[in-house]
Formats: sequence, structure tokens, C-alpha cells
Amino acid sequence: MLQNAWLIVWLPLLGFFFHAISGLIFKDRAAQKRVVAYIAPGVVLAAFLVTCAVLPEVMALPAHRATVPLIPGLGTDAPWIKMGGFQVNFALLLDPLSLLMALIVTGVGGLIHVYATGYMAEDPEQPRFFTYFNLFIFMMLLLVMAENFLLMFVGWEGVGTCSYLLISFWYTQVENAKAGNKAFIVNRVGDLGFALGMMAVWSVFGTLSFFTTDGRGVLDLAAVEGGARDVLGNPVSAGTLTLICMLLFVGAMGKSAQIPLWVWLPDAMAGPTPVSALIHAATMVTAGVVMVTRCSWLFVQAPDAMQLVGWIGIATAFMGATIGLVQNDIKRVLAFSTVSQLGYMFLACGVGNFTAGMFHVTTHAFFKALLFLGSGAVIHSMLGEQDMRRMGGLRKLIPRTWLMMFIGTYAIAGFPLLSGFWSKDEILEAALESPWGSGPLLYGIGLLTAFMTAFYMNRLMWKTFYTEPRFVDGQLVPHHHSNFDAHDGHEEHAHAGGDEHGHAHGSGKVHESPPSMMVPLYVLAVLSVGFGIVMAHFTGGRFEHFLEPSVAPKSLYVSALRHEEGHAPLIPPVVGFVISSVVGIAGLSLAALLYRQKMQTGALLPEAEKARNPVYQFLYNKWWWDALYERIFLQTGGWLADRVLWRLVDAGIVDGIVNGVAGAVGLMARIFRRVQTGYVRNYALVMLLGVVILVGGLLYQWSKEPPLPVRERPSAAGVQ
Amino acid sequence: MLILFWILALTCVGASIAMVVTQNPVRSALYLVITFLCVAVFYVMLSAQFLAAVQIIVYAGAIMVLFLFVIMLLNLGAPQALRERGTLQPFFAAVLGTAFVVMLLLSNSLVALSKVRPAAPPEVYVPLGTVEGIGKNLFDPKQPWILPFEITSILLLVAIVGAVIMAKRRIQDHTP
Amino acid sequence: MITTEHYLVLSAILFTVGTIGVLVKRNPIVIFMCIELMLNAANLTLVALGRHFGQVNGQMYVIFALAVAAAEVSVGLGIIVAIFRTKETINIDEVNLMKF
Repeated sequence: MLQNAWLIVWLPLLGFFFHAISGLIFKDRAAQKRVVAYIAPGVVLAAFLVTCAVLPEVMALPAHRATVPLIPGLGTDAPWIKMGGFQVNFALLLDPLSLLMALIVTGVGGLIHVYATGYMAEDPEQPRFFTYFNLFIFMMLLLVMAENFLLMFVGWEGVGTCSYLLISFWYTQVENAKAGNKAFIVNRVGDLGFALGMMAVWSVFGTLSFFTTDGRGVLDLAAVEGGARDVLGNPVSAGTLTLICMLLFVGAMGKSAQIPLWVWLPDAMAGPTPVSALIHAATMVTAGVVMVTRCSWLFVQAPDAMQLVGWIGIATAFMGATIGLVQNDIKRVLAFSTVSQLGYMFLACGVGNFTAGMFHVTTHAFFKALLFLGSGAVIHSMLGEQDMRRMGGLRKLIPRTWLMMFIGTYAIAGFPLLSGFWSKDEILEAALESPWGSGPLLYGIGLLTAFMTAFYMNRLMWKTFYTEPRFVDGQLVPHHHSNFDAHDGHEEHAHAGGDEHGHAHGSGKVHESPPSMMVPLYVLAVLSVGFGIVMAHFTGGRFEHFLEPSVAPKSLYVSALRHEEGHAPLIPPVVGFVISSVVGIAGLSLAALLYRQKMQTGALLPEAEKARNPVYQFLYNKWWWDALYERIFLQTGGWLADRVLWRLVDAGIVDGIVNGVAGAVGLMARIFRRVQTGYVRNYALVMLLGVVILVGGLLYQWSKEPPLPVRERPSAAGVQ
Repeated sequence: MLILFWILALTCVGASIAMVVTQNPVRSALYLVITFLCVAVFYVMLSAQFLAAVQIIVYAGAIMVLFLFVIMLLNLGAPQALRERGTLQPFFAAVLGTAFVVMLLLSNSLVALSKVRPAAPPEVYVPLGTVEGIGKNLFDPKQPWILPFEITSILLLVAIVGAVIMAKRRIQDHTP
Repeated sequence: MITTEHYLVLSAILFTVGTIGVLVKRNPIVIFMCIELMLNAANLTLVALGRHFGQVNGQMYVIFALAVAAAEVSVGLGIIVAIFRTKETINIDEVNLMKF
């Protein structure tokens, strides 16, 4: 099975190809959609099964690591690029980290695919949606399973492209297209950092492969006893490693929405909800964490870069949580929650506990997908309404959806024994023990963030499910101009009539979602509840041991920085559990307490008060980040482009040179055409002038160096 | 000999200058004939008897007759018709010409022929340019002259055809 | 005694006179004559140097130059006749179609 691991990557790719040409195969759009709805989740779930089959084989290997060909039939050293000493292979790296991510991508991704078949059933463009979706799965798998930086970069760019395509999936609305552009452009900044980091890696280590059989891979060299070695065997300076790591982290910032490149993620909610769940919550945005974890051997030797990662992470976590407190759009709350949780993951990486970060990636994939899909179900039930101010009282109308959202909320809030609790607690514990000092500060901010997380999540629940309904009598007016999820299936009913939509969508009643949407929620709910406790508690740190072969051991830097021997933890684990639990429950309770008093409006502050309150405005406008970027980059850039680049450089200098050259030639021609008098004798005169100059030059040379003596030709036959 | 040379040389240069200076083309042609004759004598003095004969027959005879014929044909008698108008052309021509001749004379002294190889005394008869000597050399298989000689014949043929084409009246000129 | 230099100086003077004639005359027929004069000057050089080195090759060149000169004169005079036919003049300054 190991040699067939390429199937994991190829199955979604084949699905992509199939969907792409399905329009040619099926003349009937309804039949096409039915087939696509089976193929798309089918290939992803099949890839999941293959991954499950490959996993035990890899874990049975002594090194827990295998390199397999990407192109079936070729070896692992089948070159993709080969130029002199530079070689990049088509190969996949199978190790616990890549397989974990492959399981998440195909598993959670498969569930979201199933969900999407229900969610997108009425969309006439459903085949296009699944084309992108399967392509995304392919690219994401390439990203996490790549054997070298460059192949990873292909996946990295590929998921960015898919993200762009899917954010602006309903491209007829200009807002969506703009959101897609924003995501793509902001990501470019990060991608440049990644590319530069990749070049730096190559220039130092002479290869882009992570591991090679002869121990010359980047991470092989980085993991050499006594510090990283470059390609020549010399030790790599800490500064070089810091530079590499910081550049790579810039890439991670872009992809994983960290300060300062986070601004695209909230706008990315413009895509269909399954996209938000799959790409902008569960998988793609964690790519940065995966990359940092993959390069953990480099990062642990660059303490400065690690500290940067940690502080950026905690700052992002805090900022995301504060903004999440005041948002009204149900998906936006979740988007800021995602930003915040990603910050946690980087905090974990920054303090050196990469496994905790990956653990949070995993649990977050479950409960955030659950929450997004649940919110999608709510939106679906509300006929496209996303504004929580027009919801309320949905618990009685859609109780199953409520239950799912309830579980997700408590999981992310860190309610004891649920998944989020375990992973977040592990991160906070690691932050407290930060090897770079200031652990208590990180811990404090982390706790505050956790408290806010619990608060805004329960605020979401109260506004949506508990308070009085703020729509009339369960009757909904189809809501088209919502900012994001314009579920424009309704407009298309006219010509897509006869579509399969079993549920009474036209009735305008709030209703439960179809089974295809609910079943994935059930599965994710079970995982959200049970995964953490099973992996972290019952099996005694199973997860950490599982990932051990892929990440750098703590001992590398902890021993270097920890002076005291036999260091005892600042607080015992049990106390940490209790504190985390208390904070989570407190956040949940505070929200419940406050909103219980505002059952009627579901809002703590009246609208007029909101407009006056500077703190509220500050948070509601996302700390003015967008305004700041607008001011700095858009206005300055616009001014630069208009005044400097266009008017000065292009119109002035570039055109000036071109026109100037042409004008100069014309002027010269006007002057020098006088030479062509048409009088033959003038020409003859000039010829003579040339002859005089030539002969004069020749004589001048002769006067310095006499010509060779004239020799008689031996064969010259005179008549004598 | 030296006296003969000087007389001839002065005649030759004087005739050539007169050829340039005079305004009447017929006189120019006649002055040129004098120059050619002088050059022919120089050829004899340089033991190129055959060339001297050819010079007189071809140049002074055939070519100059052709010139005169064309002058008569075109009836360019009026000497004032082509008088120079005031331009800088003659001035520049004089300056450059002077510079040119000075340089040519300078090159003579630079090369210093006599040091390379002394000339045979002119009193000594050297059988260089007799018809026999020229002919043997021209058709000597060891010498490279045979092919150019044949090509020259073609050149002359082409020149004849060209001259005929150039000078003949166009057909439409005939039929008014 | 007459040295080779004598001939070379003479031919240089003749050549220059011919050159100046080409430059100042406006009658193409006279210009042609000046060209013939230049050719003769060059021929004289060849013969003189051939004598100097005791070689007949100098005279060979002169024979070919003579043939070329004959051909040139016949064609050139043909051209002059043709120009006269079309332009009713042979003033070389009025044949200036290649003017700017």
C-alpha cells in the first residue's frame, strides 16, 4: 500500500478533472449535478481510506518516515526540475505530520464535501464549485505531503488560488470578487516571504528536500548533533537561521492570517459556507502552522524567530478575540474566532511545543468545521440571513442544529473535557513554561483571550438561538443583499426548475437542514467532544508520541536556556486544568448572564450607544486595520502610482526618453540631410577628404614605424 | 636625359593644368592629348616601349577621338554656359588638393626607395617592355595573367553593348 | 640622373591636378578627361616602380588599366549622351535628383 500512496493525492485530482469536463459529458445539468455530488465526496473519502491504510505501514517503519513517488511508476528521485546541482523531485513525504494533516484534510474535507452536496444542491453552478473544491483538496494534500519546499510551494500557491476562486465563487456580486482579490493580494506578500525563505534555505543547505536517504536533506542537516550544518559541513550561524525562519514565518503569516497579514480572512467569508469551513477554518489557514512545525528543526535553533512567532501568535489571538466580541454577522464572529485560534497555534509553536500546536490544529479543525457548518445550516434555514440581529429563538425551530452549535461552542470555549479544552490547556501550559521568559505574561494574555473566546461564542449562541425571535412569526423574507452568503439559488429557480430540493425551501418557514448536511455535523460533533480526551488523556499523550518523529525535541533548546536543574513547573497541571476550566466557564456564564437580561433585543447596547462608544467602534472596525492599510497602502500606493510612477516615471522619464530619442534622431536628420546636396562634385570632395584623412593617418603611422622593406618576390620572373 | 625629363615634365604638368583651367572642352581635350604624348615618352624612357605605343594609339588616338566626337555631337561650344558660380567648392578643392600632393611627396621620402633597392641606371638598356617580353609574360602559364586577360575581353564586350544601349534613341522618340 | 622618385613626384602632381579638375569642373566630359589624367598618373607610377624593381608586372597592370579605361570611357560617354537627351543639358550641377 505504501507504494500506492500517490493515490491519496491523485484521487482528488482525478475528481477535479472529471468535474471540469463533466459539462461536456452530461447535456442535462440536473444529471450532471447528481453525478458530481457523488463523485466529489467519493474521491475525497476514498483518499481518506487510502491514508488510513498507509498510516499503520508508515508507523511500522523504524524511522516512521517514508518517501514515495508522486508520479506512479517513477522512482522517488524522478526529477521535476534538474539544473546543475539543483534538483527537485516529484516525491511525497509520509511521516506522522504529513499523514495527520492528510487525515484532517481528507477526513474533515470529505465530511464538508458531503455537507456541501446538500448546501450547494440548489446552486446551478454546483459542478464548478466541486471542481474547485476537489482541486483544493489536491493542492492541500500536495502542500502537506510534499517532500521538498518547492513542491510544498506549489501546493501553497495552489490552495491560495482555490481560495481565491472559491471566495469569489458568486462572482456576480462585486463584493465577493473584491474579497477574493483581497485574499489573493495579501497572500502574495506572505508568499514572497516564503519564496525568499526557500531561496535562503537553498543557498545555505544546497537542497530543498526535507529529508533524503543519504542524510543531506534540509532537516537532516538542521538536525545534526551540535547544531545545523550547511551544505559544506560548516556550522550555520544563528543569524542565518533566524533570517530563514523569519522569512518562512512571513509566508506563514500570510497563509494563516497572522498580524499584520490577517486582514483578508474575515472578508474571505464571502465564499459559500462550506468554503469557509474547509479552507478558511479547518485546513488551508493552518498551513502556516504545519509549515512552521515541519521546519521545527530550523526554528528551534533560531530563538529570536521563535519569540517573534510566539508574540505574533498571542497578539493575533488577543486581537481576534476582542474583535469577535462585537461582530453581528454570524460567520464573521467565527472568522475572528479562527484568527484568534490560529494565534494560539502559533503561540504554541513559538514557545516550542509544536505538538500542542498541531493538536490544536486538529481539534480546531473539528470544532471550527462543526461551528461553520452549523452556522451554514442556520443560514440555510434562515434563507441566507447572516445578521444575528435578525435571528433569535431558533432553538425551538431547529433543535438539532442548535445542539450541534452548542457542542461546537462549548468545545471551542474550553469547557472541561471537550476537545478544545485539552488542546488549549496544553498550549497555555506551554506558554507559561516559555523557554524565552515572560511565560506568565503569555499565559495571562492567553487566559484573557480564552475568556473572551468563551464569551463571544456564547454571545453568538444567545443572539441566535435563545433570545426572542426578531423575525416575524417564523416567516422569512428571502434576503438577497446580505453581505456574504447570498444564496442565490432562488433567482435561479426559474430555469433550474425541477431541481432536486426535497426540503420546502420556497415556503419561507424556518426549517431543519437536509440529512446530507446534518450527518457530517453529527460526526464532527462526536470528534469535537471525544477526540481531545481520548488523545490527550485516556491514551496518555498518545498524540504527542505520534508526532514525535516529525518535530524537533524540546531538549534542543530547553536545556540550553534553562539553567536550573530539575525545574519544577510553575503550577502543577491539575491547577492549570482548573484555571482553564474556570476561565472557560466564566466566559460562557458571563455571556449568558448578560444576555438573559436582554431577551427582547438580543443586544447589550442600543444602536445609538454603539455609535458613540469609541471602544465599540474601535473593535467593530477591526482595530482600524483596514483603514490603516487603506491609508498606507492604497492611498499612498495610489498616489505613488498616479503621481510618481505614471506621471513622472512613465509619462515623464520613460516616454520622455523614447520621444526624446525619436526627436533627437529627427533633429539630426533635419540637420544632416543638408549633406545630401545632390551635387556629385560635393560627394567627390568628401571622398577626397576621406582619402586625405586615411593617407594622413597612414603616413603618421609610418613616420613612427617605417613600413616593412619591399621584398622582391622570389618567383617574380622579370624578363631580364 | 635629365634635361629631356625636365622639359617633358614641365610640358606635361603645364598641359594638364591648362586642361583644367580652360573653359572650352575642345581645348581641354587637346591639352590632354599633349599630356598623353608626354607620358608616352616617359614610358619609352622607362623601357616600356610597347606601352608607349599603346598609349599613343589607344589614348591619344581612340579615346581622345571619342571625346572630341561626343563634344561635337552635343555641341557644347559656348564656353560661358558652364562657368563656375561662386561657391566654396574650388577653395576646398585647392586646399585638399594641396594637402594631398604634399602627403604624396612626403610618402616618397618616407619610403626611401633607393635604400630598399637601387634602381637600374637609366642609361642601361633593360629589355623590359618589348612586345616579346610583354607577350611572353602575359601568356606565361606560371603567371596569373591569362584569366584576367580573358575577362578583360568580356569586359570590353559588355562596355560596347552598354555604350550602344545608352546612346541609342528610345523607340518612342522615333515615332512622334 | 633621373631617379624613380622623379617619376613618382611627377605622377603625384599629375594625379592631384586631375583630382582638382574633377572637383572643380562642371562639364562631365572634362571631368572624364581629368579622370583619364588620374589614370595616366597612376599608370606612370606603376611603370616607374616596375622599372625600379626590374619587373614587367607593373606594365601588366597598366595594360589592364588601359582596357578598363577604354571600357569606362565608352560607357561613361554613353551615359552623358543619354543624360543630355533627357535633360537637354549636361551641367553636372543640374543633375541633382538625389538631393535632400
